[in-house]
Amino acid sequence: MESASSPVTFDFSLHPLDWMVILTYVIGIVLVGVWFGKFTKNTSDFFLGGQRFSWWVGSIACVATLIGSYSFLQYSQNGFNFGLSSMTAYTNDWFVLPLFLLVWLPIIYYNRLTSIPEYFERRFDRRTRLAVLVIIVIYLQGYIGFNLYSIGLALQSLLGGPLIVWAAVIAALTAVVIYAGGATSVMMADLVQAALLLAAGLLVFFLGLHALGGVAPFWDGLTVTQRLPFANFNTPKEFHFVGDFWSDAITGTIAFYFINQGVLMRILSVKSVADARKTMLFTVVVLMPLAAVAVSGAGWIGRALVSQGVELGQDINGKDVFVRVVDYVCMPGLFGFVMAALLAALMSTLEALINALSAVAVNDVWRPFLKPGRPDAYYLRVARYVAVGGYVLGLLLIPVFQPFGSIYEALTHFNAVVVPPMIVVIVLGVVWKRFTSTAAFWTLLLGCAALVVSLFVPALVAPLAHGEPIDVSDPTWRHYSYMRSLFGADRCVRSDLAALQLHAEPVRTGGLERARRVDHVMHAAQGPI
Amino acid sequence: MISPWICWLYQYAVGGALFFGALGLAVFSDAVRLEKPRDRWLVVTLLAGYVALAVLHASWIAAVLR
Repeated sequence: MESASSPVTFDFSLHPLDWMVILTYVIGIVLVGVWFGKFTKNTSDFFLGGQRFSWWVGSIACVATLIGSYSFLQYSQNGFNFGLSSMTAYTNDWFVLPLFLLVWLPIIYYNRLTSIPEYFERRFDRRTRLAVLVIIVIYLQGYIGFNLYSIGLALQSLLGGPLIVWAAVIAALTAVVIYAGGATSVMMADLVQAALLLAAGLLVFFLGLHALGGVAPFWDGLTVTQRLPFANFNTPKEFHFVGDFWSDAITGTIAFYFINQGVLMRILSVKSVADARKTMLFTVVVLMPLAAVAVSGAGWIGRALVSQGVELGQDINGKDVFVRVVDYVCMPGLFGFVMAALLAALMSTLEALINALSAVAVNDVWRPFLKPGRPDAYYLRVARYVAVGGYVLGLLLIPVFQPFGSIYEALTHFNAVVVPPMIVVIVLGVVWKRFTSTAAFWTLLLGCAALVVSLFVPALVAPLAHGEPIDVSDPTWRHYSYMRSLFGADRCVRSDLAALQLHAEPVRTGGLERARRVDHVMHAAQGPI
Repeated sequence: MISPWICWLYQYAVGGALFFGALGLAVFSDAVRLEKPRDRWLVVTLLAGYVALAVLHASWIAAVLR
């Protein structure tokens, strides 16, 4: 396991050409953001880019948001250790799509929702909205802290120097893009960044194939297990199929598409529901598989190179294999290009999260509670201040995350504790008309409580763990990293049923009924398409 | 090592239950109306994608284990 306190540093220095490429990228992306900032006139422009983008722009921006700061490093490591099954996280979203495309999308788009908590008040009540608000702010701010931490760790590994300084430098650069133009700037910067990171990842993969001597030597360099599309069913504890299915394909996908404010804002920034559906289909069918190869490819190439006897000098766990392979297959200049792409992945996710935090703060705190009825310019100013504040708080959170064994481990634990209650409430809210406000509120509260207790009493998770092994030398809070999400979902559904039995109340309109109503109204208004 | 076919079955059975459950709910509650070409196209695309993924993964496993 990677230790945050003793990061790996590499024994090579960047060629001047690499520095030139990286600096050109960073300056270029800030200038693109500032230039498009002039189109931001109000909060709708700041949060949703004025809902004027084509579906393909939304799709590319989605990919830039979904490929996180840890993606290249983490998935290359998984690819190196477990082979082609490292792709599953990017190719298993299909099971959630019917609920998202047919039910959730019309609700959020036609209701002109600007934040997820807003939905909870309309569907349930203000108390539930406030409970969700607290969870979402923790989720977003925690994610911002994680991203800054992983950015700092990656740059420290590459260039040396203090982690906090690199995190602060990137925070300052992305803050300029956000402060200048919000969603419009971020969307346009995302276009550049997504193209760059996909191109760079695929370039490394194809250069690696060339270095290996073609596809056949690559295939021969992987073991039978590493060639399979799925990992082993329930072992080892670091990565296995059933854990990945529940923590990523189901809860992770629902979390990203339903409650991730950053993704929501990318989808809402397109012109219509039809375009939003095209955005998601194109993202899932075309861009995500490409992204899977882009982020994992270096790991597969690394494994095949090692099988051929090439000395990469990588860490035994493969955590630095991405940079090692890039260094091996790329000439000076190209190495800088790939490192710029890594930087792009880091910055685009961070920008989306900060933009999302601003949206929640303005639309769920300032506008309804703190200062209602102010001019739009006031809220735009608040959004910008919150963005800057989000960076500062994120930087302050870095020391909190440093004791964790690895970024991925910290992130998995964080997601498993925070996300399941919101997922259960949102899914039951849209599919079940009799799901009441009281049940929703208590599901959130009891679900969170059960998940926190399970960190200290992991035996609670065991009956649902599908045989996931535990390492008794690990502290108890590190057990069942993957299967805790299934446990959380199970406990939330139980809490919901208990609350419904204890407290009956008149039902409010369910999500499906609302989706049907708004969709039909809009069909009628728009005419046949 | 457990057979990769168990993983395939688990994914397309449990995932399929969620997939077809959501699809059925949307159709039977009228959130989707199959008489509308746009809705029908979307449902057919989703079904085709599910089948294509299952076939792709099955072929992949069969090719590796061959």
